[in-house]
Amino acid sequence: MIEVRGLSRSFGGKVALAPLTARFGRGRVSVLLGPSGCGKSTLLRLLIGLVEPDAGSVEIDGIPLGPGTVMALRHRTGYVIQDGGLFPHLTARDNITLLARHLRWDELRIRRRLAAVTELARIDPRLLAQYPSTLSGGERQRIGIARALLPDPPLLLCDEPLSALDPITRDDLQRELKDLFGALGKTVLWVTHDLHEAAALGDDILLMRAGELVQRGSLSDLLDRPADPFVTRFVRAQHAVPAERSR
Amino acid sequence: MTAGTRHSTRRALPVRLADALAAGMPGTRARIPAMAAAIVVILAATLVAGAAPARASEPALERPQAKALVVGSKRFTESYILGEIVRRTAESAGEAAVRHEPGLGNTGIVQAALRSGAIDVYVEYTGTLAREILRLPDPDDAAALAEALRREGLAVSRPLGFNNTYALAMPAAQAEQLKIARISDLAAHPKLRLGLTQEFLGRADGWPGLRTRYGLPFRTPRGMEHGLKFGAIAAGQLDVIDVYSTDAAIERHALRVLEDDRGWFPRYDAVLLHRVGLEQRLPRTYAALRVLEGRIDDPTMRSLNARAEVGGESFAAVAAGFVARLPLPAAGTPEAAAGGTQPPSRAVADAGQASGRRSLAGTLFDADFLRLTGEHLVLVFASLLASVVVGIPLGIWCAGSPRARRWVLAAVSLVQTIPSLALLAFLIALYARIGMLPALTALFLYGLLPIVRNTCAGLESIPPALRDAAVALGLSRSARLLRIELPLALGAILAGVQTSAVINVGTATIAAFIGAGGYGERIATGLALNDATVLLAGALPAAALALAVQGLFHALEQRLLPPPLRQRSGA
Repeated sequence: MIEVRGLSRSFGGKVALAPLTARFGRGRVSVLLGPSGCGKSTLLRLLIGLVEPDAGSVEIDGIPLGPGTVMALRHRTGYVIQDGGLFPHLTARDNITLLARHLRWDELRIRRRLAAVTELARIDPRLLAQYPSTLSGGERQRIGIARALLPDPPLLLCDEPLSALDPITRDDLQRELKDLFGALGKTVLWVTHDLHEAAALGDDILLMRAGELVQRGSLSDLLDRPADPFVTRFVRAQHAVPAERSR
Repeated sequence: MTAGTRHSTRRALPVRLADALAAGMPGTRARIPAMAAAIVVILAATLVAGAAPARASEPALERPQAKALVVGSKRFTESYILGEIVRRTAESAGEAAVRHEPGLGNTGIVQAALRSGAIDVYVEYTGTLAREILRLPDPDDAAALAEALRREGLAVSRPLGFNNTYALAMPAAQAEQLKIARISDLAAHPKLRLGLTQEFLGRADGWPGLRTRYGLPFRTPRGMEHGLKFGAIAAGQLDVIDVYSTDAAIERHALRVLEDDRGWFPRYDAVLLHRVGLEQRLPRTYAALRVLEGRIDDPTMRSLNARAEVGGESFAAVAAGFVARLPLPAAGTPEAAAGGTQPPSRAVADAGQASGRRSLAGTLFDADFLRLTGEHLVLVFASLLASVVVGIPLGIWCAGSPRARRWVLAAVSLVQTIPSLALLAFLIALYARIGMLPALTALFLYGLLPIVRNTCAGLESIPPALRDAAVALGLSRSARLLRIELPLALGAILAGVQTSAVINVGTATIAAFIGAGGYGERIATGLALNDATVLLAGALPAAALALAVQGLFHALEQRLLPPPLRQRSGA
C-alpha cells in the first residue's frame, strides 16, 4: 500500500505536482491519466526517488521514503519506462539480471529467477543473447518488464510503457499485462495519456491536469459524473464512446 | 612536424592572450589568475605525486654528488663538441666521475639545469651571458660580468679563445650582385627574405636591438630552426640568415658574413660557466679544465665544427682528437681515472655514429635503434598511463559538476598552450634535474586534455532516461558508474586516450632536448648537423610508431567495446 500525504514539487516556479494526498491499495492497478505535463510522471519519479519533493511524505508498505530507505524501496519496486529503458551495451539477459548480479545473488538463484520472468513476460529464450538494438520494440518492452519483475517486487511503476509500440503489439501487451499483474497480485501505478489504455487496465483512474488531481474513479464515473468540464473535454477528445468500454 | 614548427605554433596562443589582456578585453582579466591558480594546483599535485618513485628509479639522472661532474651542452654542433671536449678534459684529472648531458634544448634549459644543480658546467658565450642572462648595460665589460655572475652564485673561466659572435650571412654570389658587404647595406634592400632562429628573434642581443641599431626595414623575418636555415638558404627560400661566426656551414654553403659596421654584436667569447665552489669541490678537475683557456681559436673551432658537420665524424671522435693534443697532466688513461668513469656519453657517441654519411636504412636501424625505441615507448606509454589515471577521474568529476567542468577544462586547455620548451625549462627548475622525469611530466600534462574532455563528453552524452533507469533499478553510485556510465562512455574515452597517445608520440621527440632520449635524439642531431638522413631516421620511426599506436587502439576498441557500441567510436 502506498500513502501519499501533501506531496508536491515545482520546477523553476512551475508547479509539476500540487500538494497531493492519496492512497493506493495493495494488489490494485491504479491508472494516472492526463495530458502531457499534468504531473503524472512526476508523481512516479517522486515515488522512486528520482525527484526530491518540495513538501509532503510518501510511505510504502509502512516504510517512509527517505535517504535511508530509498535504496531498499527501489529494490522492492519495478520501474518500467517507454521502450524498456534498456542499457544498449548489455545483452537482454544481462539487462534482466543486472540488479541480481549487483546484489550478488548466487548463480542458481539468478538462473531460476531469469527463467521465471522470461516465461512471465513471454520472451523467446533465444532473444536473451541479443543486444537491445537488434530487438523489436515489443521485444524490448518485454525485456524491460522482465527486468522490473526480476526481484519479484510488490510494487510496479509503469511510465507510459507501451506508448512507443504499434497498435497491435500494444493491444496484446495491454491484455497480457493486465492478466499478469492480476495473477501476481502486484500493486501497480500505471501512467498513460491514453483513455483506452486506462480503461483496459483498471477501474481506478486518476485524471490529472496541470499538477492537480481532477477526478478519481472508474471510466463510467468520468463519463457519467464528470467533476469538471475538463473531464468531459479530455474524454471527448479521445473518442471514448461508451459502447467501446471493455468492462 | 619538426620541433621548430611545433614550438612556434604553441607560442602563438599565449601571445594572443597577452595581447587581448593588454587591450583590456572585458571579462578575461579577472579569470586569468584563477585559471593560473588552477594550473599551479594541478601541476603541483601531479609533480609531487610523480616525483618520488621516478627519483628512485633513475640513478643515471641523480643530482651530481661530491665526486661527480655533469657537463651540459646546448643543441648545436659546436656545443656538442665542446661538451665532449670538456668531459674528456675533466676526466683526465682522474678525480671525479664525469658525465655529459648533451643537447639540452636552448639557453633557458641549460641555465635552469645549471642553477638547479642538474649539471655542473657548460660552455657559454660572454655576449649571451651579458645581454641575455644578466642584461648588463655594457656587454663587453668583463669585470662587470664577473661581478654580476658572482652575485648569482656563478663563475666563468677565462675565454677559451674563439669569439663565436652572431652574424648575418647571405649567399656570396647574391651579395656580390647586390653589392652588400655590411649589415648597413641591407637597409637599401627591403625585399630580401630574412630567416632567423627563434632564439635570435627573441633575444635582447638579437634581432630587436639589431633592427633598431641599423634601422632595418624588415618587419617580419621568418622564424627558423638553426639547422634548417642552411637548407632553406641553399634552396633559395631565404636570402639572409643569422649564423654563428664559427659555423662550418658558412663555407659549405658559400655564404658571405656581413660586416657588423655599427658594432652591434658584442663579443661572444666562449667560456666555461659553472657554479661558484667548483674549484673547492674538485680542485684537480678544475685545474685541468683551465688548460682549455686560450686553446681554441676561431679557425680551430671552425675546423672542429666542419669535421663533424661536413666530414661526418662523431662529436666524440672530433673531441678526442683535440683533447689528445692538450698538455694535460698525465693521470693515466681516462678510463683508469676516478675508479668509475662512465663510457662516453651515449647520446653523443650514437649521434656521432649516425652522423656519418650513410644510407637511410643503415642509419635507421643503427645500433641505437632498440634503445631509442625503448626510450620512446617508455616516454609515450608511462606518461599516457599517468594521463589516464588522472584524466579519467577528472573527466568524471567534470561530468558531475558544471563548476568543475569549467575550471578543470580551462586549466588543462591552458596547459596545452604552454610552449613545450618553456614548460620543460620550468619543470627542470622545479625538479632540479633533467632527463626522463621532467619529460614525462610535460607529456603527462599535454596528454590530459583529450582524455578529460572525451571522458566528460562521453558521460554527458548518456541519455537521461538511461541514467534514471539505472537509479530507479536501485544501483549504487559506484555501480552505476562502473556498470553503466563508464561502459557507455568507453568509446569516447578510448578515442580520447588514442588521441593523447598519438600526440604523445610526436611530442615525445622534444624529450631529447633535455636528455631523455627517444627518437627525438636523432631529430635533434639531424637538425644540429643539418643532416636530413639522420633527421629522417628519427622522424620515420616516430611516424611509424604513431600509426602503430593508432592500430593498437583500434584493436583495443574491437576487444573492449560491446558490439552495439563499436560503430559509434570509429576512428
